[in-house]
Parts: sequence; structure tokens; C-alpha cells
Amino acid sequence: MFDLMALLPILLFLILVIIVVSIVSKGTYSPNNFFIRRRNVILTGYIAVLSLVSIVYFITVHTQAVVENNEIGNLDEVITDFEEAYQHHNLDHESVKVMNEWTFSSDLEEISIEDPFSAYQLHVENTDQVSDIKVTQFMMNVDHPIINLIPNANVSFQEMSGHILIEEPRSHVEIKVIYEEFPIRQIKDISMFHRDHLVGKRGEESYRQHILIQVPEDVEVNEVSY
Amino acid sequence: MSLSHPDLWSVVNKQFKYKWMSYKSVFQGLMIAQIIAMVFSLFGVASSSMGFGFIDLNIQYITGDFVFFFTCLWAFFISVALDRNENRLADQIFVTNSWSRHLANVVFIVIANMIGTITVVTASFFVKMIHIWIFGIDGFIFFGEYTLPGMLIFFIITFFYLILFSSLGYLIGSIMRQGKLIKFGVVLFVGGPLIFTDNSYLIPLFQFFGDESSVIWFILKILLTSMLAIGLTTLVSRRLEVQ
Repeated sequence: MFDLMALLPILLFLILVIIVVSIVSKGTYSPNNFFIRRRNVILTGYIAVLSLVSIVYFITVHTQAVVENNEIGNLDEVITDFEEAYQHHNLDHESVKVMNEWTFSSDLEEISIEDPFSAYQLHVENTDQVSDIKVTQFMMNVDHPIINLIPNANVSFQEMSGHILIEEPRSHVEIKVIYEEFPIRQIKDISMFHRDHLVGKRGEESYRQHILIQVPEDVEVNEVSY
Repeated sequence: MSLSHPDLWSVVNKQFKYKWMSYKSVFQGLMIAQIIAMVFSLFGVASSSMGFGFIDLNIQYITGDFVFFFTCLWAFFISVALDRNENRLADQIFVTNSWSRHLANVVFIVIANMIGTITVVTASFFVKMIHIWIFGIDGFIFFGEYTLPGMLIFFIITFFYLILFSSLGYLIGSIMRQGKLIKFGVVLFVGGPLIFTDNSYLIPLFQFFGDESSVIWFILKILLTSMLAIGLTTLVSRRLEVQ
């Protein structure tokens, strides 16, 4: 059944190609030509196939999350809350989305942090709430499918030297966007290539990754290289 | 003296039915244009790149835009050919005049464009469904939801764009039939700049229609332009009336 479903698009296209090739290759102006005699049926069949596939499309995608421009454009309030939350290192706030966490045990009294690519906005906190070194990758809590594409940071801790190394997980991602057609975009006054509509009005700010490094109070963080 | 008094609308109705039966080949053209557009759409309608932070995004856009634009071209070219000499001669088997012939042509264009509109909308979903079938649904981001009002707008705007292209094609077709020299002039002064210039002079024209985000204003603009084009066509073709 699955194989048949997988072949369905190819079969449909083959049928359409055969129709086209037949129309083009044969003398269409002869009244005895099959495609002249059956043109009503062919047109009806064409519309029926397209309509059927359209229905299948709606059935297929109705469970999918949809990005709406107004949904991602209205971020001012979230941004304010998020800024306030991360300045107070309050990662439990609803405006914060924790992407990943690492915990490193260390007896060292002095550690250093290296972020050679400056890929992340770094925050360091000495706190009595942790007994180990805790590293948290977080971002603003926005609901957008692009979040799923953001890779985890590559964080490692060298116990001997006390170096926390944050490496840039630079990634090249190809995504396919099912977009509305020109007539709808015109009335919504949106352009396909305007990135704001895809990633939000404050896209870079929305998806910026932060790293909070929390160390016990008696540990000195003596070097932060950006 | 004739005892029969055919009224305009019965003549238009007969002529339209005749055209409907005999011009079905335009729908073969529609299918071919749309299937070609669908094949092109398989490679994505457009792509762009953007980077934020450490992610390079290469975005491929999947829409039915090619189908829409190819259908606009179809609407234009069928209208150019609709009032050609052979078709006009064929109309002479009816009691006819220029007015009834143009009305029958307009009715035919409207009905053909309705079918064109239905196929544009459904073919757009066909393109997307093919992509989903081939690549799987997980790799896609869905931008914008097709609500009922949205679908209605899709139908209406597409239909009126087809009407616009058809009426312009109808006007250009009638101008071209004024003589070989005029036909050459139209090709030279309309087709030439389209090919050999950057077409920047067309930007205000595209903006006039394409930047209109009010449905009412858009429809009014199209209706006025189309009525103007068909009115001009009637004027232009008056001198060809007597057979």
C-alpha cells in the first residue's frame, strides 16, 4: 500500500505527460482525433485529478503547524520579557526556551571560557545555587518551525586546564517553504522574498542563542575571550 | 421583410454556444501551459539565502506562482486569437453584428477564465502535493494558512487577473488585425521593448495592479481597465464590420 502511495505522484505525472504528448504529437484538428472527440472528458478528467489532489493536500497538511505573519511579527512584548528574564538569569520564565544543558564537575577554583567564534551571547554567573559548572543554551521562546533547525552548541570542558570551549556549530540548512500564491500575497501585502515574513520582524534577535554559564560562588572565571 | 425579430441576447447566446463547442482547443492549451508550469515548479519557484547567527538558510519556495503566470499568458494569447479572421467569418453563419460578436466573445472569455481560475487554484495545490509526496512532509515549513476567505480571495484575484490579461490580449489582437503594417508595428513597439529593454517602464503598470491590497479597489481597477480595453476593441474593429 505504501509503495503504491509512493508511486502515486509519478503515476499521476506520467498520465499528465502522456496526455500532453498525445495532444501535441497528433493532429489535433482532425474531427476524428481521439483528443478532439474526448476533449470534454479530458478537461473534466484534468480538473477532477487536480481537485482530488487538492483535497488530499488539505487532508495531509491540516495537522501541520502553520507560520502566520502576524503571529511572528508581534514580538515586542515577548522580547521585553525575555530581556528582563535573562538579565536576572531567570531561565524558568515562560519567555525563555532552554535548548540544551550541560553539567561539568570540577574541583578547580579557576576556570576560563573560550568562545573563539563569538557565536553566542555569553552570560556568566557566580551563584550558590549550583555546586557544579552548569552551562545552559537558551533563546527566546518563540513558536516557529525554524527553531527545530537550530543546532545545539558544541560545549566541552577540559578538566585539566579548566577551559570551557564553546565551538560554533555552523550549519547550512536547506528548507522548503510552502508559500501562498501571488494573488493571496498581494492582498496580504507581503513579498515572498521579504525575510521578515518568514523569520519574523526581528528575526535575528528572536533566534539569537544565549549561553549562561553558572559556576559555584567560590570559582573564579578569569578569562572570557570573545 | 423578415418576420423574425432576433433580440441581442438570444443571438449572443447562440454565438457563445457555437464558440463554446468549437473553441475547446483553448482548454488543451490551458492544460499544456499548466502542466509545463507544474514541471518547472518541481524545481522550486524561487530560492533565497539568509543567515542569522551561525545558521545559513537556503530557502526554496514552493508555490503555484508559475501556474498562475503561465495561465495569465494563456488567457492573453487565447484572447489575441479569439477574434481572428477565420473565427469572425465563422460567426457570419449567425445573424450577427459587431456588438453581438464582441459580447459573445466576452462571455466566452469570462467562462474560459472561470475554468482557468479553478485549474490555477487546484494546480497550485497539485504542485505542493507532488513536492510533499516526493520529499516527505517533515522537510517543509508551511507559511500561511488557506482559510475559506483566503481561498475566496485566491479565486477572485486570480479570475480578475485572467480577465485583465484576456481583455488586453483581445485589444492587442484586434489592433493587430487592422493590417499587416500595424501588426508589424505592434510586434515591433510592444514585443521589441519587452525583449530588448529592462522593462522598467512597466513597473508603474505592474505596481498599479500588483501593489493593490484592497480587493474592492483591485476589482474596480481591473473592471475599468478591461471595459476600456474591450471598448477600444469595439471601436478599433468597427471598420472591419462589413463582410
